[in-house]
Amino acid sequence: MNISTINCFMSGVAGLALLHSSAAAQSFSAEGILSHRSYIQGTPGEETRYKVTVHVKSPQWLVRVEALDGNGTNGPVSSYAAGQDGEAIYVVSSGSAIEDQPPVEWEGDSQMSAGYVSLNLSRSLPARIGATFICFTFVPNIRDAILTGDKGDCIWYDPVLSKHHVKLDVMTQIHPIQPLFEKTVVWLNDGKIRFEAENLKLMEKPWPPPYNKEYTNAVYTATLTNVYGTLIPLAATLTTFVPDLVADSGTGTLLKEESYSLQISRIIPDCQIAEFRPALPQMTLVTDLRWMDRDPRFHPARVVTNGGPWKVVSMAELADEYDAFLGQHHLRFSEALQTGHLNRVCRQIVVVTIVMLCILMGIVAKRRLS
Amino acid sequence: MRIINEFLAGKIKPDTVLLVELFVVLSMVLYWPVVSFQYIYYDDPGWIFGNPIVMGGLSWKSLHWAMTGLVNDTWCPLTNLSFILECQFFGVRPAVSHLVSFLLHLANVLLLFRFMLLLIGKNWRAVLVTLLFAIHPMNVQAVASVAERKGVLSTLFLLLMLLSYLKYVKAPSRKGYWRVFIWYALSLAAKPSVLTVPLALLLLDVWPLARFAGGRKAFKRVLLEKVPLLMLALANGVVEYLGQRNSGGIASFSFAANVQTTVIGLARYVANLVYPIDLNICYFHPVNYYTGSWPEFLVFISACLLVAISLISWLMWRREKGFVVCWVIFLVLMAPVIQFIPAGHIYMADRYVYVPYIWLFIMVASGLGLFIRGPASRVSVTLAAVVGVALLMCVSVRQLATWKNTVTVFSRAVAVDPNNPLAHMNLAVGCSLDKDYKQAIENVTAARELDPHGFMEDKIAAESCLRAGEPVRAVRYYQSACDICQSPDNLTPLAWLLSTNPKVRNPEEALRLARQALAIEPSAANLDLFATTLAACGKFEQAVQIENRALSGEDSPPIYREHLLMFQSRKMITVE
Repeated sequence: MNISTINCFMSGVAGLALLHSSAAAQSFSAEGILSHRSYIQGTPGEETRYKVTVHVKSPQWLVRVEALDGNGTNGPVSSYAAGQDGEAIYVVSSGSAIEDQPPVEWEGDSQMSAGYVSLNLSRSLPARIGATFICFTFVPNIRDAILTGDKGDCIWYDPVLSKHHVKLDVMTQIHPIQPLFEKTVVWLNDGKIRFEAENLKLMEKPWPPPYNKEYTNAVYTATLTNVYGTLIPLAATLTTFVPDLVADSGTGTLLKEESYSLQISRIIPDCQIAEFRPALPQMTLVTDLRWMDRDPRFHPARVVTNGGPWKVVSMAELADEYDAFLGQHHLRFSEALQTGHLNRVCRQIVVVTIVMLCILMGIVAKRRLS
Repeated sequence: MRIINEFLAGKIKPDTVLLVELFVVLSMVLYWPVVSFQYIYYDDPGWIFGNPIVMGGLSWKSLHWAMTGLVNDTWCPLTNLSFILECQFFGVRPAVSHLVSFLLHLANVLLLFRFMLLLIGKNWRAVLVTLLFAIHPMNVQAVASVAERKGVLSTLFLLLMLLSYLKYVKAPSRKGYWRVFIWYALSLAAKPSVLTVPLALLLLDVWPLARFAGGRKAFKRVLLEKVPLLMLALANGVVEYLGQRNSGGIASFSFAANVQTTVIGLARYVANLVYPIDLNICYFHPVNYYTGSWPEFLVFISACLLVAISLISWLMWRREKGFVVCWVIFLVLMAPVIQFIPAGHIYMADRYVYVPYIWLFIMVASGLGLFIRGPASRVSVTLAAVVGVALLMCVSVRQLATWKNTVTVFSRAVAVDPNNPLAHMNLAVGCSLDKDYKQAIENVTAARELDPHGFMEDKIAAESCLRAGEPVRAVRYYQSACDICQSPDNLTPLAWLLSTNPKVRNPEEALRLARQALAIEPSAANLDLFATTLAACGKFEQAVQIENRALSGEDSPPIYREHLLMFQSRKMITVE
């Protein structure tokens, strides 16, 4: 059984993308094939192919990626669609049900029998099949947000760098005719491996020599084509590298880790679609990350769609149900959370306080009498 | 009846030997069952049975670690040493660990009695204080928890220090002062929570020692003699704070929430003195999962209780100076553990009052004394005291029974507060160890619901699933833990599972994780893991190369040689 999950997040990238909406207006639709290959110690593994559809109407965009030949089941996600409507980025991922996950309870006393893809899984997996790479290629706003100054966010799957918005040194070569597009981008790792401590703090340590100085982390290239006077990417590649820890120290060999290749086969110069939010199938389980991105005390809100209009954050905060929502997230003290324990503690302190107050009054009365 | 009256009136002096026998018998009746108790999978692994250095017994390496190592972010060299010596002479046996804790408690009871005799004289108040200390339910954790060896050990040295201090006050000498200083240093080295004791000594100088009566010169001398002790405490406090801060043990709540926690915590400790309820191993900080503040009524009523006691003490100043002094000493001693600077996820712990309660016991005994007006009231007070002690003893027996093992102690915590994710999580660990995987996963699920940002739940769930023979679910839980926190501790078990279990084998992903783990920590274990993943990828030559590097280390376990032989014969490791 297939289920769908929608993740809506106002990430740092998205926020910046909105700010950069002044970039020259782009409007086109394109179709093509994305090939992804992982390497095992430099040896290429099997290639996985996806059909890609892109719609861009700056600042809005919509990307759809579907696995071809059933090979794209990288984990439970087999396809996804990501879009921005000016308020948030929506990522709808579809995949196989996780049979052993507990059923999800939702309003109406019934249960959704299908399993669900957990927040973190679904949030990271689209990145693994090239979501950021595709957006980087086609959406100037996203590209601007990723490459600010001499530093850049990574556009490949790296949970630590992405989560902590670590920016790496980048070298860019801009297209001579169309300055909106970079021809080549090289990300340079500063020689540090990054990980998280148990308190989720970002930690860093130098890679073993000679990688502790600097090494090429990833190389991106793009070729453009001119369609009715507008330059649009026709092909793009992204290759990531890792230090070879097997080789004798001092050689400094880099191994290919992953490569993405995007080849566009059809371009329509004017984008005709009006709805940039991905369509939701019936009974979609929504994992809403928007609040969590604003306040880490929130946890991913999991709700089931009711067919109504999708609320932006400011509208949701004004809704009648918002108080209950805060209660569910333990961000407002609610009766449901007041366990017997706290009630008993209250009773205990009340009893002892009354005894003490009686003693106090006795002492005061005695002093007055004497 | 006549004997009771004369005893309470101070006409009959109690036979010290008989009283000592009474304390020993009562303590044994209450605490002897601990020798059949197990270690608790909470703090105990770090202190003894999960700590290979401690389990290895006495050596230069273990001595060095005992002096420099932190356990649970706390620097307790003497406690570390006591565990090392225990393992050296008796091995890792829970019965011995519990017996040592019990004997230390017994020694503390007897030392306290001696201290009370010197401080308030040989009378029924001293007996009552010692009795309460021996059997109070709030002291159960200090005795029944092996990890709390530090508390009972530190108290032993603290009581020796107090006895030396009384001797020094009586006959001041350099030797006597050094004795005080050394006992205090040892007490701090066993557990740093006695930081504020020098301030308590100043208060003792007010009452009952009355050392400020000698004018300005005496005042100056009394103050100056506390300076070395304060410096010692300060140095220890800095080490402790840095340890907690560097490990991220200090939680970040708002200032208002910290004040509220302090007020509620203190009120609960006071209330538990006379009306102990819901005692358990971990009182989860509700501010962790509520709106960031406590229920207002609870804060208000707690503040009322503290104000009432302070007023009572103040109003009694003329008649009984000890009231105010004992109350202030209690507050001073509670200061380091009151969670104004919150450490970890709990807002109070029974063990924290092991020493501070002594001063509340003195208040209770003195308070009861105020009700004695004549022969009839003497009998009533005696009856009240006996009934009170008997009731507390019953509560202690019940409370002690919950400390048998991990499952019993955390079942109690869950029963007390079903919204406590920490209790659910640790109960899951206990259930998993008892091979009750269904219960383990149920508790992990409950903990996850209550604390969605925690990854420990996922790790425990993964381990439970793995033990239950469900590697597919285990991988999902491990992945979830890694998604929340990309720490080496989360990466390595997932890498191992993905490279060795045929049902979930994903060598490519395993290699990525193992490479990261190796780059972070180039240890023999991570080299072995990297070699294992390389072999799973079919890169046997490289696996042999890396395994040889793992074997070149000093302490490489023999299993690595077996791994090497497998890789040389082009076989990958398979663990079902």
